[in-house]
Amino acid sequence: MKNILLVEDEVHKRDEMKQCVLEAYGLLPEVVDGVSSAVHMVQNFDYDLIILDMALSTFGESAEDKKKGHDQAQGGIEVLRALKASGKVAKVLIVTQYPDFYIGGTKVKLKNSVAVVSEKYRQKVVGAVLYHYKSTPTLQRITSILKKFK
Amino acid sequence: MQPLALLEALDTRPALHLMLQLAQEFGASNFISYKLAYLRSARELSDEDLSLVGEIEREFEHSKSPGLHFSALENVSSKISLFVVAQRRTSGLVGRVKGELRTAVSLSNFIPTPLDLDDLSGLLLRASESSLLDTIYAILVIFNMPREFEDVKKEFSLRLNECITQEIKKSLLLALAASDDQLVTNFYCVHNENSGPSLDLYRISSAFLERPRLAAYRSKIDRVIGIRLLGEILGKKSSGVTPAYEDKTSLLAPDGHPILDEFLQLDSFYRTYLFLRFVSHRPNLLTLTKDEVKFIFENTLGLEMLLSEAEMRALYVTSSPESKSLVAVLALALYRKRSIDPDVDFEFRSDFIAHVKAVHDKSILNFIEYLLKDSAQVANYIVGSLDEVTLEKMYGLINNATDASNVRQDIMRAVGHKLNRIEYFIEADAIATRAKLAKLHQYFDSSRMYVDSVAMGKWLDANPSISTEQYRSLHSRHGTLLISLEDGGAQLLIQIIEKNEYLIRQIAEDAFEQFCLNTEFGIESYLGRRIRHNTLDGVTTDTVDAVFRKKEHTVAMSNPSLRKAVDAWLLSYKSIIGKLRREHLQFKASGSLFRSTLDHNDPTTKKNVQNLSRVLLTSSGAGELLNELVVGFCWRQIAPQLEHAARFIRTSLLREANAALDKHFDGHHGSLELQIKAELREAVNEVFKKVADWFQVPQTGYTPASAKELCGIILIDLKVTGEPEFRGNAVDSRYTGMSVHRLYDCLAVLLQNAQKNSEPGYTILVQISSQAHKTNDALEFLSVDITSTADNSKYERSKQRIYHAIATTEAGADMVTEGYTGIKKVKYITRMNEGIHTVRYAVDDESRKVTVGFSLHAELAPGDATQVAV
Repeated sequence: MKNILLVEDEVHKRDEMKQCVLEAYGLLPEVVDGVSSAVHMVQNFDYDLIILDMALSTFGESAEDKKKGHDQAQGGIEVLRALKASGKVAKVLIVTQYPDFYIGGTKVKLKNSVAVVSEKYRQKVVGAVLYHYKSTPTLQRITSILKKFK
Repeated sequence: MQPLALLEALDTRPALHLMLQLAQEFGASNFISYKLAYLRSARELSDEDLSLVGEIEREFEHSKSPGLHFSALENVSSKISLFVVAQRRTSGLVGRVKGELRTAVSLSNFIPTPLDLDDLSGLLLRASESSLLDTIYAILVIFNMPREFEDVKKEFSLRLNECITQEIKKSLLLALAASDDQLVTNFYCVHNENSGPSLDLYRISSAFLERPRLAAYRSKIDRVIGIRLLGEILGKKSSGVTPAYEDKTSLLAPDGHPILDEFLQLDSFYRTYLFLRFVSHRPNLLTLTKDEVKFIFENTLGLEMLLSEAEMRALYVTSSPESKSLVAVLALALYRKRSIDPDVDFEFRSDFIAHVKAVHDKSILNFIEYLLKDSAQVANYIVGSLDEVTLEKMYGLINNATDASNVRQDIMRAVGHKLNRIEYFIEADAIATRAKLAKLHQYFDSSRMYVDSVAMGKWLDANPSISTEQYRSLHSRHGTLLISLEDGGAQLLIQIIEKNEYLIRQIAEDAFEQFCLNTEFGIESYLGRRIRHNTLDGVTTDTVDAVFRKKEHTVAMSNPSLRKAVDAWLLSYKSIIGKLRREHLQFKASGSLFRSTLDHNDPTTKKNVQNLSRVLLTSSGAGELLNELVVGFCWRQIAPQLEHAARFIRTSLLREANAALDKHFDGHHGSLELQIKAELREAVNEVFKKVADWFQVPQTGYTPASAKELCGIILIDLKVTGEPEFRGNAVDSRYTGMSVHRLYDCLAVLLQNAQKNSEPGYTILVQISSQAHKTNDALEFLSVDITSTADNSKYERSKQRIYHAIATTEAGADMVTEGYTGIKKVKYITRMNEGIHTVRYAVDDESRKVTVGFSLHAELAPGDATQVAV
């Protein structure tokens, strides 16, 4: 596992995810914090694994003008659409704070999202984790999934 | 009922008396509501007529339940866009009616003729539930559709009392003799310049379905347009009712072309009907050239509302490379108007991005200018589709939020130039002003609630409800009367309030729902951001974690038994927080702390509505400030809910968390345990207090500012270091709402002029004075005069220039070519606010002092507003 992209806009969660990746693979992922930059990265580079948050702002705090732009509650899905449209397939790990989200107008439980997203966006979704703030079990679960798909 | 079938032939007064008599005998009915809606839309009613309308409405108890009556008016009135209102009703009711169109009157009225046998029973039940008159009317409609419902008609004839059948037949014969030529009046047409004969007749026909020709016409269009308007409700039922239309030559014929099977001539609406039938046979699309696609887009109505995404996709896929740009814009407009599949939206955006990259050098503006060169009409679609949110999602073309906002401004200006309309320049300027004023307010750094009142104001303007339209027309009728009554006439003012309060109640209800639930600016979206961005988790967890991390507790925490107690408590604590997030802070959850509806029995709500009614119905300047006053109402209305939420969090939740502490830390582990418990109690207290503090009403939904503060921002922008001298009784008075934006725009022009012409070393004087409004405490009449000492070489020229700018009478369109800038802009803004422009000037040749000033009504910020750093 060499090329890893972490799409996450929340600082604390991002730091925890980076630690999980470091623990599992001994390297740090590339990080983007907005939908626009995530779409740009997946369209222009190939990634082995993408760790994906769902609720994101369009540009994130790292935008040149320091404006995050509008929030996209399903911003992560835009990244999946971009992957599919580019004809690319990557391993995807969804890490979100919502127990369910909307795909194609239908509410999907997070636990069922692996199958739904894999099929609809033709990606290899390796897991969907409900993130809890500062929760050791959550981090253990993420690390264990990452290690499993080494 | 029979005389009302020929309503257009009756004089207004006898017709109203007839309706009143029917209302007294049979109570409220959709039938009378429609007839009344027709009269109100087709004729100008005198005050005496309106008083009779009031009597009918009182019989209906309209003010207690305005839904029925409004529904007829919004279907018939030319002042309301049928497309907009259908979308609003559909999205409001889709979750409640479960695909059953006839469950709600407001939906059923969009398709007043039965679609098929399955629909017939629902239509009859709907009619029989509202009134006996409606039941008879529904039977008349069925009798008027013998081709579709011959068997049903026979059944009715067999089973109905002979006397009723005879009367029905008599009514139909009478209606058959009616000529429909006089139904659409000039008065009706002038209220909607974009309408046309076939759409006017379609809308008006809903009030005259006892006429066979109109019932047949209405039914024919209902089966194509009506079912698409309610497509979200009807789902699959909405396709394939009518055969495809194949005659491309007639479809592309110019307006005025005779329609074979109708008594009308071809126009935009009828062409839309034909095109929708044409599209239903997909191979037809392959035959359309670029010019034909363009012609159709320019000469049809509301395609973005009426085409399905599958049809749009087919149109895009089959269109020639040259017409793809046009189709892409329409497709984006379709998405923005309706919540369709976001995957399809993504595909269209990707196509659009690829096209602009390949053909227009990555420049959206270049693309727009190309399109506008070719077709002015497409501008309407562009303005609707390429808003800032959509522009931000043009990945690869738009690099950041500022870029999106600049491109939107450029688009508005390009469209304004093309259509020669000043409104687009004003909106472009408003975007720039909003960005500058954002310096006054960091959206989420404050711990208080936030609703984007500017976005909400725009939404209210773009989506007027029937009650808003009614109010605006009432206000324009009574405006002069109100000015004369401001110094007296209390009794008449009370009567005006009593008669029209239901309108304000309806405006308040609609606005409050958006204030709470709108995904772009509502309270719910604020709560969502709070939760999503971990503020809630961060606050609730960090404080408690800090206790466990303390060095002095390391020993205690290594005790397995105490550790177990800690884990058990943490579990129950997190479950309390989880419940807060999942239930209490969600509007639609069962345990929600918030509700988006108004309880009119609640004394606070009553008082808020009464206050809003008093100001809106009795202040002469209130019509212009409608949005601001409504947003202010919403804040007052949400205040008790926020207080309740804060109290609930601070008391009930805190009590629950403390009870959990007592349960899990029972003292078995001695003083160390008790110490941890005490610190946790303190931490938990702090947590819930902090969270409760979020639920406070901000001083205003807008950013309040004084004229002095605004001058400060403007001078920073102008890179001026010297401080002007401020004088007057209103230097530090703070204003709110759109008043701040208007004030900013006017000050920016005058300060820039003063600074440009001023001789170095001379201080600019800013005189800011105000007078209280006679009847409204929330308003002030503000006057600003800016004096500068002109440079000797510039004095005469600047004097002449100012004189000329003030003396010139310019129309909005002139400003498109001459520029929406300078003193003309201040004149325009004050004219929009005050009815006439208020710009004035004075000069002193001896001292070369030039004073330019303006006055406007401005909304005062609440007295306790906090200081905002500039």
